[in-house]
Amino acid sequence: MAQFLQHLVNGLSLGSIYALIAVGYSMVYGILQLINFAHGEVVMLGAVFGFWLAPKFMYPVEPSLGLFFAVLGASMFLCGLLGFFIERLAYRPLRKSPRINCLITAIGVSLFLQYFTQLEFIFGAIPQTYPEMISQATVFSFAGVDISNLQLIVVGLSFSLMIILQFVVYKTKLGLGMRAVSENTEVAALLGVPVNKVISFTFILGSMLAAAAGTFVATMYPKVDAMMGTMLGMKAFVAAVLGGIGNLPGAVIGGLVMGLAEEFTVGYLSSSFRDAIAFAILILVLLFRPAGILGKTKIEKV
Amino acid sequence: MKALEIKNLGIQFGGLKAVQNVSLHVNEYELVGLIGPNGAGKTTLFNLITGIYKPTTGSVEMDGKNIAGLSSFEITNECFGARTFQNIRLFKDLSVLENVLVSSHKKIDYNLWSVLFDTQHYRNSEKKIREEAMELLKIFSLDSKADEIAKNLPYGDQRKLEIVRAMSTKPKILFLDEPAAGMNEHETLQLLNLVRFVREKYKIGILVIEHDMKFIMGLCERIYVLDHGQLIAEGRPEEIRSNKDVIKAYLGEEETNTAVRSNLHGR
Amino acid sequence: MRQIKHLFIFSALVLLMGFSFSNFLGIYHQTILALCGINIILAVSLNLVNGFTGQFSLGHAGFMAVGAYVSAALTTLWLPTLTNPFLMTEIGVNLFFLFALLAGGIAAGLTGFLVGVPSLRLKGDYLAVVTLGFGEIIRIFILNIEPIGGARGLIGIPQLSNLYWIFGFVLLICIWIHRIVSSIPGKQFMAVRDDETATSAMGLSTTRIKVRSFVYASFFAGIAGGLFAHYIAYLNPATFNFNYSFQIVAMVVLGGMGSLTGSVAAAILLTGLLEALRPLQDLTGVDLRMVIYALTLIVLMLTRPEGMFGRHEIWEFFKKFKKSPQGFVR
Repeated sequence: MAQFLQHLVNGLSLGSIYALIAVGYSMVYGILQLINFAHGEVVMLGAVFGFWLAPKFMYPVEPSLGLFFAVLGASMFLCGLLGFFIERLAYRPLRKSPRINCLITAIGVSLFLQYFTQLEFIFGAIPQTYPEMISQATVFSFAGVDISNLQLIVVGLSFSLMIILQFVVYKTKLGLGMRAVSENTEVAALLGVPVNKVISFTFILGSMLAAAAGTFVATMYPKVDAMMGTMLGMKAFVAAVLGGIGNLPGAVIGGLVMGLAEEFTVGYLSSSFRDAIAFAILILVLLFRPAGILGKTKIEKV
Repeated sequence: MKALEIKNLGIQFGGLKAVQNVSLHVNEYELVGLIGPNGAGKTTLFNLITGIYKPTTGSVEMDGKNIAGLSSFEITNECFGARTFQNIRLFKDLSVLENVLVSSHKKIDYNLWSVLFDTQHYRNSEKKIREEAMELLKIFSLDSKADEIAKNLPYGDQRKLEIVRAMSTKPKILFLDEPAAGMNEHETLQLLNLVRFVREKYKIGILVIEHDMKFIMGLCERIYVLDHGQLIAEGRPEEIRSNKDVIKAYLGEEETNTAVRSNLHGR
Repeated sequence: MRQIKHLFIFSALVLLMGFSFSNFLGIYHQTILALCGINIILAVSLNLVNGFTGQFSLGHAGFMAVGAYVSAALTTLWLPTLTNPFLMTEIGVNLFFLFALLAGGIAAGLTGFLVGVPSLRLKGDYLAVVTLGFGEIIRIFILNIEPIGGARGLIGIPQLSNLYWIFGFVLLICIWIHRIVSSIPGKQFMAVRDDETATSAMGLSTTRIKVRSFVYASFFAGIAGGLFAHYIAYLNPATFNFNYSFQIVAMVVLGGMGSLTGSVAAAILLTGLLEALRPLQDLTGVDLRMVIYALTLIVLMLTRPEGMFGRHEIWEFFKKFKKSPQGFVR
């Protein structure tokens, strides 16, 4: 029982990170109907930026919450910029192209970022240890279940960020623009919504959340790797599909389910199925309920 | 036997009853029209008949067979119904001839091996199917354009090719979805003759959806009128022309109200 | 007889190619050529699905893996246990290799069927993601089968493949796929690409057509896998990852979706490009190849999304544009 609860706790903290990434996929898909394959790479770069910046801010790196927040903020800022340029340079020129061309470009951008980061003078192909900014400690122990301060911070911050996002989407003018564009781009444009600005904003927002997710992952499993984004991205994408792509609360639920599913698979089956479970879930969802848990099924017009 | 028999057909999308309680029939060798204002559910009815949507209630019988549980392609194959589309759906990157060849699939009598090894049987068979397709194109005088890419054809020819393509499945009933849409008067007249010609030549039943009243009045022997998903009238063209409900549906509530009011005042 | 004439020309060509490639080139260039040949088969077969049928598959390497492992398991694990003296002879071994290749192809085709039936109901990017998922699952599955090496890889595969075999199959498969797409059933693939609703309204099962195209492509990918396994003589599940699938897609897209000669040219070009850039790596100590690969693709999508040849075959360009030039712009 204690073991089960421990898996539950670990799964939820992992899941909240997936949720952060999934939200980014979902927002972009909702607005452009594009699977932004490069999103996982933004997560990876979020961690890489932190790896570079932490020693710059403080050398040698001493564990402190302030440093963590400074690094988190800087990394979110840089990734927001990156997201802006990705959309501007790679996706915007293709706005009117067939969707499959956009998909190919997205994969191209993803591979480009991944291999560019792997270059020796950029980051390199060898995994590095992420600087320890918060020294891990168990803050809460009950009936054999340990909850660490890291888990608390990650879950707490993830949910705070998602609540802020919810506020932005539903209470601000730009959020209203985002919802309008995802409903119908042409009509939104006719009504004077600055579509390009809204799309840029969406990418910036999604990339900032991705950067936070990257920082959290790197803090919890103190490792940075140029290849880490692909799998994280894929799993978060599955989470977004699971929750109903384009649907933000759905993405959060999907992320939590994915985290739990992975943790329990590793705990009770075998760690070699860690990645397979994500794809299995993806296939099952797409085959039986392609609209996801919270999504609506659409009728094809003839 | 009737070519098409629909009983109490209905479909619901969410809360919206797009088509409800529609019963109609088309006899063999009969030209029937289906008219109604925009959004009356005409195309939805076609999509129900051709298996693209599954009905919530009622039944459709074609060539004496119930279409329940059949997919769109099975309905074409087993119930001998073929259709055209409101927004032309040709195989736009294939040639005119290839458009017809694709729908002549029932004539294919060779297997994968004969294709891979290029057997004599495959060559003969393929040659024969091509010749027959050319003959069909000749009947509709499209043979001179056989090698043109479908999307490069003029609009009128695209409409025509859609009909030819449907005919190459050897249907017993043909469904035409707004064939005259976007045509000028001259083209519409040609189309009128074409539809009559198809009926005479192949002795099949035809059900035409059309927005253009004039077109349908000149073409059809019998007309059904659909409004808000329900049949509101049935009869010969002249009966429909003078039917009050039809006028009301077409002219809209407001004008009828004025007409009714002026009538009242007149008294 | 026509067939006999064709067979004669075919054999002569294969012998000529095999002989000249294996005798006038060094081992290094032979290996590159072999990889070119294998990639040609993969690209041309994937074009059947992605180009001609208009379905977007991102899991081709998975089917290649099935073919590679099944054929390699037969020749590495089963062949040594057989005692039939015929199998000791040169001809016997090669016939067994042919059998192993076909078995690999059939296994891959069967996998293609099992994957295709449920997933081909999906469209566009959803299909892309599901095939990607299946490709990865196939790989993880292989990773967990110990008798064929698991994560360590399968070693000691007899080196039965050579340039004769590879280019024999390249030629055969290109001819076969060309024949398929020129036939009326092949036109059905393109009909599905152009309009699925209209295809089914003409009495054709689009699912059946899509699955058929998928199974053919998987079969050919399986053959390519078998040829690969017995040329390199070593298999590792990591080879068949998502990036390999993506490289094949890149070849199809670069050549032009719906152009077989385009796929051939692109397969040679991209395989060659990766090798040609190798000195750059030795010089700078930096592996820029994949970066350039990715950039090529992005730039291509931005500037010429229809690829090098569009939907045309190379010989059509010599016939002075019989079809209108707008024909290949979407």
